[in-house]
Amino acid sequence: MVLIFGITIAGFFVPDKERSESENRNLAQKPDFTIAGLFAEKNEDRFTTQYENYITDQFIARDTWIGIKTQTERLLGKTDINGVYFADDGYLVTKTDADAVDKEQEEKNIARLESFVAKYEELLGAGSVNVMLIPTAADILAEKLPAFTSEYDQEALLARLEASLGNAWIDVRDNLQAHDDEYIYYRTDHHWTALGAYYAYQAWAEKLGLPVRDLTDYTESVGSDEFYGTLYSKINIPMDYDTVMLYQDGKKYRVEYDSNGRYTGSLFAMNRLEEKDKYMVYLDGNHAMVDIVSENKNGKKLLVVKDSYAHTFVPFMAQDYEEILMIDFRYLQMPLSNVVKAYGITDILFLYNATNFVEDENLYQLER
Amino acid sequence: MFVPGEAGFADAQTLYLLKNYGIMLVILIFAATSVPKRMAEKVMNYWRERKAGATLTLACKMVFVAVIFLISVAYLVDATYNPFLYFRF
Repeated sequence: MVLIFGITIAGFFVPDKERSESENRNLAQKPDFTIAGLFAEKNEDRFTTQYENYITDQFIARDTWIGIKTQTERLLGKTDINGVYFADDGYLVTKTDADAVDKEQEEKNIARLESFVAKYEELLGAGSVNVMLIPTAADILAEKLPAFTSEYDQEALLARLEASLGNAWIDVRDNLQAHDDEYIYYRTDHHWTALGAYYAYQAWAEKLGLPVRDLTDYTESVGSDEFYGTLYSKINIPMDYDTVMLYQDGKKYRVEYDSNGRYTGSLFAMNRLEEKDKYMVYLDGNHAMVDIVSENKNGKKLLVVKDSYAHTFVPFMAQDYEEILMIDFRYLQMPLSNVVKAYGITDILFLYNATNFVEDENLYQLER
Repeated sequence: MFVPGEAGFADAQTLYLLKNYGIMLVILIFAATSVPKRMAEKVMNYWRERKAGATLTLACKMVFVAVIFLISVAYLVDATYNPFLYFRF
């Protein structure tokens, strides 16, 4: 009785929260009571529905309850919860079950990528189009996963594309695998770390015949040592923090987001380190379009078709181009051929993480 | 899952699921029998014959119900938890 009424009564006195940081969304607020609202036509406008949303969203100590549920399931021997594996050495890893991957979507995306590469190799010349698919932690850190998982086979996908894309393909898997005992993936987030991106940069520079800069050529600093990523948010139990490292090349840039006419001088959005999702420090998180102009006047203009894995990668190689245009199909609707023409693009890099690539539903835009 | 098919009686997926839900299955099978009830009755009879019996029985019942209640609330709250809005990076 104390429990039942206690929770309800405490709910009255605890102030409402505006936002849930771990869910990255605004919470429902207390609706105003009106007679009209009680009999509203649409269900979502009805007072009772809104009040129900309000009660569930403002439930006292929500995050703690999620933690209790996680702990209960852990006690019962579950090794993945809410789509996250509990891997060895304190790693959380995104689960991508082989059966859960839409085979049709996968085949479509592969075909689209292949014809995209062929089309632009013809337009811009052989060697000017490159593809990097980054294996995720589920592949590189497979040894840490629980036994008997049926994970999607990223290695097979990469081998297949390596065979079909030929010279355009840049293999980063070997390099990441060689450093799999280092801190190349976050333990609480689904991204790779800047160090992981550096090893991919090595493979990239070697492939393009560019001088490979040492990690020590960049100024290393700790952006934050209190980072809880997206995977942590799914389970809400105590874990060690992740560390966000910054590697800065000391060069000057002019960075413009979404053609909004406002320029910044850095590839790092330091104010994002104050927020929950600290991965956004790299190139300010997800934007439809990012335009980076460097001091290097070599006339090379690179188009990067990417997901968020590119945000940590680009700062390592931005100085090798006069201009880099990053495009994210999930937020941008614009024919690619127009962009290539309008900006005088000379090279193209396609960079996605492997599982996101097979599941992405926006790659039809490669054909436009 | 338990149907012998191409992969034989058990493939990796079966083992994975067994590992994840095995304990739960055992608890459920056990709870579905009358064994827990008979065990509880035995314990309570034993207590009843002694002095502190009634209080102890009540305390046990209350703790048991409270724990079940707490876990149930946790599962209900989890069902409305939706942290994936930015998951598609």
